[in-house]
Amino acid sequence: MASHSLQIRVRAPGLLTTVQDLGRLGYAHLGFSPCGAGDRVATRIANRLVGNPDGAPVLEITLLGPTLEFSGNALVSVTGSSIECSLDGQSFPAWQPIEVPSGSVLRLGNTVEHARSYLAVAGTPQAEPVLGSFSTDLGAKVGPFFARQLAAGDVLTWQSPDRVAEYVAEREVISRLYADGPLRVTLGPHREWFAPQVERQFFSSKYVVTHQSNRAGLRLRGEPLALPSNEHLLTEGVPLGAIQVPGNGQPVILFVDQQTTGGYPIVGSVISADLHRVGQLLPESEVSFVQVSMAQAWDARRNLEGLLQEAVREVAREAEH
Amino acid sequence: MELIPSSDASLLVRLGRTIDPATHQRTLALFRALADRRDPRVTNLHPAYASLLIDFDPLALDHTEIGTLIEGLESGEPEREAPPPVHEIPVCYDLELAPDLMEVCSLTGLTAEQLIAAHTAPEYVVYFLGFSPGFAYLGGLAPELAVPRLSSPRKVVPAGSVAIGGAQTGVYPLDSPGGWRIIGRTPLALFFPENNLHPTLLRPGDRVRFTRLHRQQFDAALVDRTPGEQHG
Repeated sequence: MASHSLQIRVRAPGLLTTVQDLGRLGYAHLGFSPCGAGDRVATRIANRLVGNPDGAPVLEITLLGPTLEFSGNALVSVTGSSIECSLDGQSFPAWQPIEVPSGSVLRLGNTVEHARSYLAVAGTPQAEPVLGSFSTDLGAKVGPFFARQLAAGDVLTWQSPDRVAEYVAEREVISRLYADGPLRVTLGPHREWFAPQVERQFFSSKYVVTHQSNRAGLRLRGEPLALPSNEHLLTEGVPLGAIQVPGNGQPVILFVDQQTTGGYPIVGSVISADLHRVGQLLPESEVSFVQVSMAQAWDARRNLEGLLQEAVREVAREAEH
Repeated sequence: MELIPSSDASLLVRLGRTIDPATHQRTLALFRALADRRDPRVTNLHPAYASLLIDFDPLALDHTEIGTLIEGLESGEPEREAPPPVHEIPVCYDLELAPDLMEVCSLTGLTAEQLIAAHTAPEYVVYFLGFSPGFAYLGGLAPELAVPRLSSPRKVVPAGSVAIGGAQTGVYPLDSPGGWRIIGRTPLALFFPENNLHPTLLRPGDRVRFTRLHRQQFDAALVDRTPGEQHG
């Protein structure tokens, strides 16, 4: 397929813009965090809209987006949180492919309602993955794109196909992927640490996401949970989405840049079908939890995958770019 | 052995509740047997002192199937393992590089010379890696060297810092925050993210020896740093 080279120059980086994909897997035993996009659903949809495979690298935008200058024609899409999007000063809609002519300036403003937006660019980056992933690990300073958050003056190079099939997103399906309501949690693995009334308190409480939250963990604020004070937990591996309760009784949801092991008791884990919603929580927003069984968690995940299949549809004719 | 569902995409296998060499050996054997299968449905393995967390693709596997997989591994013939590599890590205990050395001396009642002798004597075992890539939780610290962690962690601990936290000792592979007490620094690199096969010097089950490095050697080594590994 004919393709062309394309440069994206960062004029202004925004608050925290990083290159991410679906994570750096297979290195937890050496201490590497999973990393990857905080909202993997939005990442997959952004990629599908421009004809990329689900796991292609995207720009993850946090709270305030970047201003980017394109040299070479590009096809892009913006998904995730609602965000102000403009191309050479003209606003454009999210959740659909957008043609960016060479020389244009794409500006993403503040996210609205949620925390993270995603920008996908049709094609493949001119970079080699590090440890199997294009994700930026901010803590370990690992990743093929500068190994840090993007800064003014950075240039990203992409190899972009000249022609891409046309895709549309189904708005109604997308709204179902981001349904409101409590985050669904399975119990364990440290049930013996939590008295039944403490477990009940956790599931009946409303928590606030504090400003001390980041990609490694969301620190919550609420009525503290009581733990047995004189017990010591041996450090064990911790899964993505685990809700740890440290000594102060305030839960922490471990997230994509989490450490691989931990020594605090875990009251439960957010199910894999709801992790993308964790990635969209804004500081000071309210969150609550509801207990589900493993069978319900797996049903929810299959349901999510089914919705993802319906979320993006190829339009019959081929479009010229 | 307890099998505890940890999330809808992970299973915790707990082999014990204590830190001891036999339980750790069984944990590592299970970790290696599972890692050797290279099952694409198993996405990550987190060995620790006495447990192995197995992350899996919940669209392809469930906890019962992982349990069956593990039973199959356990009943298999145990492979004869090669002796673990022994890494010699040179440490400079110069006070400029060891901001907590004097305090550790006063907490333990040892002189600096006694402390260095006690720290360089044992062969340590890498229990597991965690906290940050390449950070090894080492077992085998002389009990008289155990000291509590700092009450408030440092925001930045320089890469290569050798430290004691509780009954453990370790080396910080990268600049990171940290609450262990720093007693020295190594010029050796422990972290090679560009190396897809071996991105960290230390791996679970490896052995470590600390050797004393004088300041001049440390400064010279910084200029020309090469990893030194011996297979023992």
